[in-house]
Formats: sequence, structure tokens, C-alpha cells
Amino acid sequence: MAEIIIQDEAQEIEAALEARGLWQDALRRLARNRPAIGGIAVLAIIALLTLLAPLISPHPFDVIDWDHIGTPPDLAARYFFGTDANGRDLFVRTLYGGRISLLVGIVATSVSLAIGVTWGAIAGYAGGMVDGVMMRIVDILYALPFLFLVILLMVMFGRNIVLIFVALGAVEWLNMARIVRGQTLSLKRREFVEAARAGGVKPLTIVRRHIIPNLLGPVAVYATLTIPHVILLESFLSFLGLGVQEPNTSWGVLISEGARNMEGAPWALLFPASFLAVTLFCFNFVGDGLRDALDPRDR
Amino acid sequence: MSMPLLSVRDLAVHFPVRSGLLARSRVLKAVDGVSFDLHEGETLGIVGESGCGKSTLGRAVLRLLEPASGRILWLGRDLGGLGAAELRRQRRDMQIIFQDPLAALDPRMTLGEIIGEPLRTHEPALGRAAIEERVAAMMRRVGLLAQQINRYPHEFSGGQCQRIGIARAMILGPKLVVCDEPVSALDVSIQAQIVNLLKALQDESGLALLFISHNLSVVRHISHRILVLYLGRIVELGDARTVCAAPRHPYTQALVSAAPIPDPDRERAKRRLVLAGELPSPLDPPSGCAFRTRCPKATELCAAERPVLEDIKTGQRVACHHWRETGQR
Amino acid sequence: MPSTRAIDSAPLLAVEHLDVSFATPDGTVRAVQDVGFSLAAGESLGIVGESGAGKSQVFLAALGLLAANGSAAGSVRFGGDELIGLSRQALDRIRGARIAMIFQDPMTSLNPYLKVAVQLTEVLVVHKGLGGDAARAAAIAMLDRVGISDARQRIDLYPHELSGGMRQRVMIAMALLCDPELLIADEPTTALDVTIQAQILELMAELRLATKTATVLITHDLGVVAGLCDRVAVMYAGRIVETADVRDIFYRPRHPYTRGLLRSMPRIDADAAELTAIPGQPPNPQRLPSGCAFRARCPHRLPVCVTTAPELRPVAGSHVACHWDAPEDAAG
Repeated sequence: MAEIIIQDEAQEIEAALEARGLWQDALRRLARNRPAIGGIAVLAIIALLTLLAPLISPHPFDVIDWDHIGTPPDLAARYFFGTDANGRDLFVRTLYGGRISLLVGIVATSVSLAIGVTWGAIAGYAGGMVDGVMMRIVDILYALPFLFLVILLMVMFGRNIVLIFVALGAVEWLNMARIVRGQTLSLKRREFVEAARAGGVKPLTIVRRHIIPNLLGPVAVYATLTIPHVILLESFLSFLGLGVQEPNTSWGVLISEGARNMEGAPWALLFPASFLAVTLFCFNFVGDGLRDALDPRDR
Repeated sequence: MSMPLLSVRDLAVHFPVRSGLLARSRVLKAVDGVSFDLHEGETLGIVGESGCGKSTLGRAVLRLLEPASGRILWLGRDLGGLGAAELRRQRRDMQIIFQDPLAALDPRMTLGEIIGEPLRTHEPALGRAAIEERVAAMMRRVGLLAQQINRYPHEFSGGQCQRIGIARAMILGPKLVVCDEPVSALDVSIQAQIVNLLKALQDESGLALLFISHNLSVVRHISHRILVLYLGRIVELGDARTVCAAPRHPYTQALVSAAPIPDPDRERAKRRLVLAGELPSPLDPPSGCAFRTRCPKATELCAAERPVLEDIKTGQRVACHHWRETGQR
Repeated sequence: MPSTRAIDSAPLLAVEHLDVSFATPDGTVRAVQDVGFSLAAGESLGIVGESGAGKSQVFLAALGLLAANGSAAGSVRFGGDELIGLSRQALDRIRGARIAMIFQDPMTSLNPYLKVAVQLTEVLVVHKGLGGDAARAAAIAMLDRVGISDARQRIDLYPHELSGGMRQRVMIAMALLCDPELLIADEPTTALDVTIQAQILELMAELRLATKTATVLITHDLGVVAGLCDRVAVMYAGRIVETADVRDIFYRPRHPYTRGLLRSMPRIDADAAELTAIPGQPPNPQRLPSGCAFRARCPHRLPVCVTTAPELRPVAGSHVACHWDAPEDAAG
């Protein structure tokens, strides 16, 4: 009798050879989502272009060409996107700007993830007074005007790219913490968490081993939507003149300069703005796709 | 009689309920003065319908919920007095299996990790190989294939998930396992498998079971003694066969007569004791005896005085003013 | 009293060669295969099976209530009319009026935003063309009939203000309002406490005697069937494996699955030292084995069971789909 059962079970196992974890299932579903795959592809291309900028472009990014101040795209002179008001090649500056913008986006989001997830998970799991205090701190910080903070930091520590990462990360983690806390509250009630408590697992271990891995789904989605938000914030800062310093540039700086000369040299605004817009679209598609892919199957 | 493994005295579990912004918070007495003993190798079945507090009782006994009052003596020590770290250490001997087999397993962990977690918690010195070996042995013992160790819970059926839960609960060789409706969510043909597995494990290791269920037939089969709860109070406690064959409390009698019998002649011939009315709200239990609003034998005494659990000749304990009159079936 | 009804006149409900399948991203799932049975007027039939057996799908298909990706083939004749493939308007006329269905969870079957009165009278207005007052009076009378005290006040409550048992009574009232010829009850007491279940079963038994409505009771609980049904059909993996008079099913079960089920059920009135469980588990409907779906768990399997799915054949008053012959003293 037992052999009959084992035989059939063995067949079942052969029929589904690889262990299908929830991540693999999600990847499969994501692969079927065309806008998301398109978004990933385009983002990959943009990232590649920005990385290879010194190799692709015929002109260095910080050299002024006195013969070509504020000129439109000129294929003969290999100024593919034209030049900016200072005679520098816009194509290469756009790509270098992309480096900074993407870097800021990813690093600041990672910082906000690290702080936000830890903060939110601990507050949510601890509950009671600890939760109350931690979330009130978040509320207070949330109420502080973001710009004020950044200007303060700039004044204290000078204009520094690392500072921008920190400032932006410091703002975004608040939202992340709130979202993570909400997720934790609902996860806390699930039976497998109760089972871990009943097994004598320490609270911090439960948070690390059970809560955080099960949060990563919604967190991943939120992170891909935070990156464009951070890039926009950085652009805003740069627009106000508080962002990266010369000769470094970012899409925000380029857009700011381009906007100033919009009537005379529209290409100076158009190209960096398009790159920014396309990047934002792609992140949003990927975020949407991830959200659909990670939706747990109905059981 | 040797010292009981578990000794519960006057246990009460209360939940504050706030109705409305300005209203005073009322108290839901989910468990209201429950006392019983549990010995090694014994199965105590806890039976009742929704709102009777059986799941709450099961969790309170393990201090997964904090009792409002009462004492829980575990191996002679007061469980309530233990600090957090000491309580966690005691948990290796008292485990629980849940009603929803799939929800009780972390969906992002493999079988091996789930079953091995208690080992990592309580025997941190064990190396990976040793853990894997013990996990594989436990899987074989509960009827799972060892080669499935790297699979994920959602790939398994309900019955198999329950076996995983049992393996996790049993791997440290506990002395007590609380089973919270362990077969209610399973198909009928699988229920018997799990019940048999639990009995076999009990026979092998002498572990005690607290078997919580609303299905009296299953409870009778697996339990040595049965405890019947109604609105958080014990109404009857006694030997399983006796409680089912000759129940003394009117509620128990109704439960027994309501249990469907897979036998057409007997099922149609039996005198069905249909209770009047509905379950009263646990927030506002009737005065005196909580069961009196549905009881065919209720009198004024029942409204005035709450009946105490008394020992009767057959070894049962009944909480009813009129149990003597409810002798016939 | 149970009896073997001779079906001399045309049956009320006749199902033949019914197949129900669902198109899923992972392939076609055959939920019901080649199911056939009949039901006479006033008779009570129990359909027993575990999850995945397909028992609900048979009737959802008959009433045109299948999910969008489901399709049915075969024949379901109700009072002579073919139901499969019937237009929505024609089905609407039959559903609620001549065939009524009640489901397991009354909370999801009743509209939480409408008072009970509205949901009850709607049925009467649509199918019987009654005016508002007449409909309300009839509804109150029916609520009384199904044992809801204070019906005049309770009728104006919302579903969530009633208890589970009450809601199920409302469902039964709603089903009976139009005096249907056939009542299909899909796990009507599964979500209820056992003492409430006893009340509802008592009510259903009483109504059955009074109204003579034919009833189909779909359940996984053999005990419930023992008390209420005249005949029983046992389903496994989308097929009927045994149909018999209720006493034959319990005292002389012939199919190994039926026998296994009965031996694995603990009883409140009897002592069983050991429950004999059926080993293994029900097959995945997306990956049914060849031949007989039960063979992996069957103690009596023969080589032919691997290749050929057994057909329902008559055996001493019952119908059994099995290659093995149960011995005459088939007490299980």
C-alpha cells in the first residue's frame, strides 16, 4: 500500500522538478508583462549609455567650445544634442547627468529602504508604547519642511553630493517606514508568526526571519516607485541651485539651465527632459509590473 | 496519581471591547474561571461551539495570550511568573498546531527551514548537517518524503501542510502539544490520517495533547477525557466515553444529540434535542448560569446563582443545578 | 422512512453524460466527467464528496452559473426541458421560481446592503408578480414558517444583524418563497455550529415532509446525508463512483472509496479502536491519473484500473463504477 502512494508522489515530483519558490513564480509572471519588460529594457539601455558615456561621446563633458556656444544639434560637428549656453556638448552632459540622477535615485532609495524597513518593522512588531514613540517621531519629522532641512544641511556641511544622498534618503525613509509598519501590523497577526512565537523564537529574530522577507514584495514595488520620486526631488533641488556643483551636472541642472533659455534654445531643455521623462515612465511600468507579479495567488 | 503536567486553576482571559468613542470599555470574558489538570500521555478534548473560548483557552495555557487572572502550573512551576527569556526556553516542551495548515507556515521558507527552525532556536550548537538529518528523520516519521525538503508550503495539499506543522511541533520532543482544530480544515478522508498520526506519536513518546475541536465525534475518538465549554465556562468534564454515552449537562446532551451519525437507522431514530434560541452575546452573558436562556430545565435558581462544577458519582464533573433531573437520554 | 422509490414516471431532473471543464492558464481542468443520475419529484438526493470532487459544479452548470472560463457539455433535463445551452432569459425564469439554490455561506449570498425584506420580496415581485404589500405579507409568513421569531420586526434588519443560523433560515425562506419544484442546497450547514446545524436540519426535514419539494443536498458530511436523504450519489474526482439508496450506501457500500470513507469516520455512538484512514490524497484535478482516479489509494486495485476508467454499472439495486466486485456481505 505504501509503495503505491510513494510511486504516485514520485511522479508528482518529477512533474514539477524545480522547487518553485514564490520569487520564481513572481519572475515568471513579471516576464509576461510587456510594459514592465519594455521598461526594464529601456532602463538598461539608458544605464548602459550613461556608464559608457566617455567611450561613446566624441567630446569631453566639461570642455568649452568657443566656436559652438548655444548651437542646435549639428551632426557634422558631432554635437548630437547641440551645445548648452557655455558651449559644452549636450549629449555627453546629458549622459553624465544621467549618471548622477540615477545614482542619486538608487542610493537615496537604498538608504531610505535600509532605515525605513528597519524602523517600520520594529515599530510595527513591537507595538504599544515603542510603536507609539517611533511613529510619533516619524510624524514630527514628516511635518518639518523638506526644503528647510536640505538648506540647513547644505549650510552646515557645504554643497556635497553625499549630502544630497543623505538629505533625500532622510526624507524618503519616512514614507517607507509608514508603509512597512502597516504591512508588519497585518503580518504580525498571521499564523506562521504566531507559530514562531510559540516556538520560542526571539522577537528580533522573528522580525528578521519572518516579517522582513514577507514584506519585501510590497517594499520592492514601493522602492521602484520611490526612485523616480527621488530623481524628481533632486531635479527640484538642482533647479533651485542647491544640487550638484559645477562642472558636474544632473538632469535637474540641465533642465534648469535649459528652461532658462527655452525660447532661444529649446533643444537644451528637450533632450534632458525627455531622458528624465522616459526614465520615470519606465520605473513606473516596472513598479506596476512588480506589484501585479507579486500579488499572492488566490488559494 | 502522579503530578499533573499541566494544572490550570481559575483561568480567566479578558478582552477589552470599546464600543463607541465615549462609551466605557466593556470586558469580553472569553475564558471565565476554567480549571483542569492534564497528565502525561493523556489527551484532553476541549469541545464547544463558536464563542465558547476554546481557542483562547488553548493559547492562554501556553501564554501566547496573557491571562487576566488564574494560575497555570507547568511541571509544577507557575508559568505566569516566568520572565520572557525563561518562558521562551520552556516553549521547547509545549507546542501548538493550528487550524489553517497553510497559513501556519511561512510562505517564503522551505520545508527544511520551517521544520528546522525549532532546532535553530533551542539547539543553536547543532551544525547544518545535523539539523538536516533530524529534519529528514522527522519528515519520514510524519509521512512526508525526505526529498521534498527544499519545497515550499504552497506546493503541498492541506493534509501535507498539517503534517509539516506536526513535524515542526514534534521535532524537539515536546511534552505537550495544543492542537487547535487541527483537522477541521481538512477533507474527511485526510482527517483520519492526521488523527491516526497524532495518536501514534502520542503512543510513541507519551506526550500529552490538548485537542480543541467543535467536532465531538473526532474528539471522542482521540480523547481520554472531554471538557465542554460554553461561553468561557466549563459545563462538564469527564471521561470521554462517559460524557458521550451519558452526558449530564443539558448542553452536552444537546451537543451529543446534534452530532450526525453516519448510520441512517440510528440517525433517524435518535431523539434530537434541539436547543431553542441563539448563543447569547459573550459581552453580555446571562446572569447566573450562562446556558439558562436555551436550557429546557432552566428555573429561577439558574438565573440567580451561577452553578459550580461538582463531582458526581460517575467521576464526571458537572456545572448544573438540575443535573440530577437530566439523567435519562 | 427510507424506501427504494421506483422511478416509473419521468424523473424531475435527469442528468446524462455531463462534462464540465474550465480553461485555465495551466491547461483545461476537467471538473466533472460523464456524470449521470436522476431525481424524481419529491425525492431527496444527497451528493457526497470531498473538495475537488466536482459536486457543486454539476449544479452550477445546470443552472448556468459557471464561471466565465467554464463550459458544460451533456444533458440536464428538468421536467423535460433541456437546461444546458438555454438562453439567459429562459434560465432566469427557471432560477428562483422552479429551481432554487442555497449556498454554504449566507453572509456572502445575501446582499449586505439590502434589508432582508427587500431581498425576500424581490423574488416574489420578479417571479410571481406580487405587489409590494402582498409580497411583504408572504415574506413574513415564510420567515415564520422557517422558525424566525419576531418575523415582523426581523424582516427589516440587515443580514449582518442576524446570526449565522438566522441568515441560513432567511436563505431557505427566500428559496421556498416561490414554491420551487427543486431545491438545491450546497453545504447549507457546513459553516454553522453543530447545535444550529441540528436546528436547520430539523427544519429541512420538516419542510421536506410538508412541501414535497425535491431536494438535492450537496455535502461532505455523511452524517447529515444519513438523516435527510432517500438516495445518495458519491463523487470522486469529477465522477460518480456509487449511487444507491441511503441504507445501501451505509450498510452495504460497494465502492472502495465509499467503504473507505465510512471506515475512516469517527462516530459518537460507537467505539472504534482504530480509524482506518484512506491512504494518500485526492488527485489534483489538473493532473488526473489514467484509468480510475481512485486507484492510487485503493486496496483492491487491479491491473485494468490503470488503463480503463470504470463505468457506472448496476449491482443489486445500486450503481457502482468499479472494476472490483464487492463481496455480498459488504459491511465495509
